[in-house]
Amino acid sequence: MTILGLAWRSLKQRRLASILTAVSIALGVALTIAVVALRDGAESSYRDTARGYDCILGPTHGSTLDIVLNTMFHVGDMGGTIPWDSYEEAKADEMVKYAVPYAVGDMLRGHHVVGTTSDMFRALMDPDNVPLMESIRGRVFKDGKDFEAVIGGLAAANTGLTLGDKFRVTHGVGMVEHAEEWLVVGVMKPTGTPADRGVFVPIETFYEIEGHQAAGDDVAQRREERAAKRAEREKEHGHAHDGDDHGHAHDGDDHGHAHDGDDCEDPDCEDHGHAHDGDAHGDEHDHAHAEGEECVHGTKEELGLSAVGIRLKSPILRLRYVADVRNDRGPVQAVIPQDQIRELFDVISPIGKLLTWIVALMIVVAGVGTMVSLYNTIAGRRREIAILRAVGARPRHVFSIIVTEALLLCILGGLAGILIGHGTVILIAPYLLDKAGVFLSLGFGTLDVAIAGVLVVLGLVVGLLPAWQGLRTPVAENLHPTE
Amino acid sequence: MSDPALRVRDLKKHYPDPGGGRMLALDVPSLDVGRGEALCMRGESGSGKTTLLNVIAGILPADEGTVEIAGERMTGLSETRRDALRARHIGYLFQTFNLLPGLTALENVQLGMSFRPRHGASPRKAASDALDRVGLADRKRHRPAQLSVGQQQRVAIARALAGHPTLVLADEPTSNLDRNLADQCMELLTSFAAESEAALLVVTHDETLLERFERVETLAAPVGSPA
Repeated sequence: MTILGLAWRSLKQRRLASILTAVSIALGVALTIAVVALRDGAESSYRDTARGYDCILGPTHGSTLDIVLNTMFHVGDMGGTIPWDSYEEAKADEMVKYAVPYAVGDMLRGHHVVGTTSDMFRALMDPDNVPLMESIRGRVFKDGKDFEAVIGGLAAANTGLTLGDKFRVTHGVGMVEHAEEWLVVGVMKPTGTPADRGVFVPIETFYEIEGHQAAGDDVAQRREERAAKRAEREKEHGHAHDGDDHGHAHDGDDHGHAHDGDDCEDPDCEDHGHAHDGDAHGDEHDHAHAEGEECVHGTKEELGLSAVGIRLKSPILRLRYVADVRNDRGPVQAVIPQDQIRELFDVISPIGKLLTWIVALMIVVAGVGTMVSLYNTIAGRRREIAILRAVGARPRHVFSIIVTEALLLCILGGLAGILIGHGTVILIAPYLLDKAGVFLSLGFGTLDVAIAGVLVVLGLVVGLLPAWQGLRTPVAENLHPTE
Repeated sequence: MSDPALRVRDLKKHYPDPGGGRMLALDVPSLDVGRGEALCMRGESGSGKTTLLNVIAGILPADEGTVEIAGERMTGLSETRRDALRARHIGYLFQTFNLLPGLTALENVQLGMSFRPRHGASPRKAASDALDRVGLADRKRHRPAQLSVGQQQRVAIARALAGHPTLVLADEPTSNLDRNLADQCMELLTSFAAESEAALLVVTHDETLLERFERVETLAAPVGSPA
């Protein structure tokens, strides 16, 4: 019988208490692993993804963080649009390697439908720095007006769509379904990036959707400009134009409106637009025309975008490019995603670290629980200890048996906790990727080794007091009563 | 001539009394047990029989006198050295068997050899042989609670003798057994000890056991101790 064998049998004899003690340690370890995986996963995922573009062009009055989150992570709302010209200018800029337009607002069974160009799959990389283009099974869509689509791996799994399938999209989060159908020509393998949960269509087709073609800048701003012009005109005419500002909500989906053709008799008509983003779609967008105006629809240049992702020829050009945009591009701001994410995590990181320490304290608490549990068992084990001593066990043997029991509880509980923790991470990883665009790294790492080391030390420490108590067991008195 | 298995001289042991003083619990002027010899020590309750065995085994320190096991002095040693000497030379058979409930019969017997230097067969093989010897070949994997009282006592005998000790101490080995079982137990104990060439010291107040021993001595209650 070895010390380990005796300790193991002793734990088995108190099976329930041993299991409960080990479970408390397992829970502490599992929580620590899950929280650290979440914290590190969120941070690295956001930082990695943020490296995809050197900067993003978005509306001037939108939140800079929202621009990054909406464009790169497909979460949140943009809060406005930018002119199509911004994309054309960016594309023509000699500093720019890739300019990738984004237009969002429609959904496919909970997944964002993103109007973009095939350059997106060239500009963005997976965590191994492989362009997303290489993860496409099938082919990328043709840039143009063919209704083709590439679907992210998670979106494909969730929707059940595969190559050759057709689908329709709904407007915003509503149930109103557009009539147009897209053909799935590419399905992405899981990349561990937010692209996994996106549905990507040619931006040209996005504007072909009935109800999407009126575009332009921010609706409210446009309305104010129109109202000001109208008031000026009325002042000039000396009368209020009865029936002016008659807004109308568009049938069906309570949002923007389709305008075909290029001419509009009302000089203001070219400004009628709607913010085409996820936020705006829930609103009823009034589209006002002066009485008697016949509105014909806008040109392509009048169409708006949610954002433009910019990959520069060199990151060194970043500041120069941002300054150029600030000076030249009008109602557009250039946001550096890395800066936004760094600022975000400058705020979040201390909280995350504090949370980790709090959770890690659970391991210590569980260790103290182990010590209390073992200590309390000593009183009931005096006879066992006395028998061991009577058959020749030295004090060090008794000491070693009790410390080994503490070690076994901590190590086995810890191993279970490591498995439970990683199992939890595996279970929640798809949910987080789906809901927050966070890719959790799966697998064992240095944290597990560190936790194992801590548990060995913890086991040794928490075993000391019960072992010392065991040493003090009077042998003769506990074998049988003295005469 | 080799040393006797047990040599005791002028051994005294005191316990604290309720009045704050010390009470003489054991007084043995002289006692020798030769190798392979069996001795029955009878005595009334309170005469110090169990105390004598505990002091000989080194479980309790002696206050005065000497105890030698196979020529090695037990008295005067540190607790750890007494433990080591006990592990090396002594098999202890308790009145209440003292088997560990979480261990199987085989493991309980093995336990007796776990803390002594290994010589000869492996502890597992020796334990298995000892259980075969006491007729429990088919009960090796049973836990004490799954064994009858007589079987438990046989496991305890196997544990005391499996390691081939120099001296076997047996404290009222039959007090928890009926007459028939007591006879079987004593027969087994004495014959097994003889085969192992171990000295056997049995303390008992059971007069019916005396006829089994060629040598019987009486442990008188020490003067001044409560009878």
